[in-house]
Amino acid sequence: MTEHPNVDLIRKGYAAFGSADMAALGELIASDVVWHNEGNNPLSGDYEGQEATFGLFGRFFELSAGDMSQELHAVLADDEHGVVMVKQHIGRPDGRSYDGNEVHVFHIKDGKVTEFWAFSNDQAAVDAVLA
Amino acid sequence: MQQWLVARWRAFNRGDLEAFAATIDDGVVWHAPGNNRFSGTSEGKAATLGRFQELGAAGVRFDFTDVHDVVGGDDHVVALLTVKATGPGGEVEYPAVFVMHVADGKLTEFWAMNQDQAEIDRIIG
Repeated sequence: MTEHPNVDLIRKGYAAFGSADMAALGELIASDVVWHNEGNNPLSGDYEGQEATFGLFGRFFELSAGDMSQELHAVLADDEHGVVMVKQHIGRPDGRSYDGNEVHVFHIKDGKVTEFWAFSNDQAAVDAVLA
Repeated sequence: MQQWLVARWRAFNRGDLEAFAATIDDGVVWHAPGNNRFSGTSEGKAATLGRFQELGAAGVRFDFTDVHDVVGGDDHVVALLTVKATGPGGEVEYPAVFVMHVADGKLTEFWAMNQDQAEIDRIIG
């Protein structure tokens, strides 16, 4: 199966996030993006706009002290959606950590991400590590 | 694939387990998320269908209120849905992602991931 061009966009996005390359992320994420951060933890909520979303990313980098990584298991995409199966790791300096399987869903329009949802197989563990 | 998915669940929701079972591989592995009495992994068709019969007997059902998109790759099919769960504790509607491994037209492995899982757990009990 030939890869959809949005697969490449998604992979570039994870590479940019992994290196905290905000300039590259700025090219891939729409200015009016809506970023849904699921769960019941201090970072949960809907972040509207690139600035608010980048603020969320900053909080993730801060809370994990950089100990955060994604291993991509599969990336699927069509004209409107990107779907990523990902092994997510979040560590905290106090020794807490989360390793879970997640599905990330992206709305994509005109080559940019316009909306995002994350689904974890263990949201309670995500909430615990971010509490 | 979208029609296959919807037809499969419609069969399930009208209690036609036979039609539902026809789309499931004998060796299916079914992962049910959350922390409720039906959470966990069922291995094999008999165990999976048994789990669904228990769900039905407990008054739990899942209706699709929207099949937003179905995205397919070489090894995976992913459905983006809105689901309404009904159970002893009430009902809740939530975005869900179903991740499926499909081989030769039959489901071989299934994962559901839901928003609002804690509320779903409460309703199912």
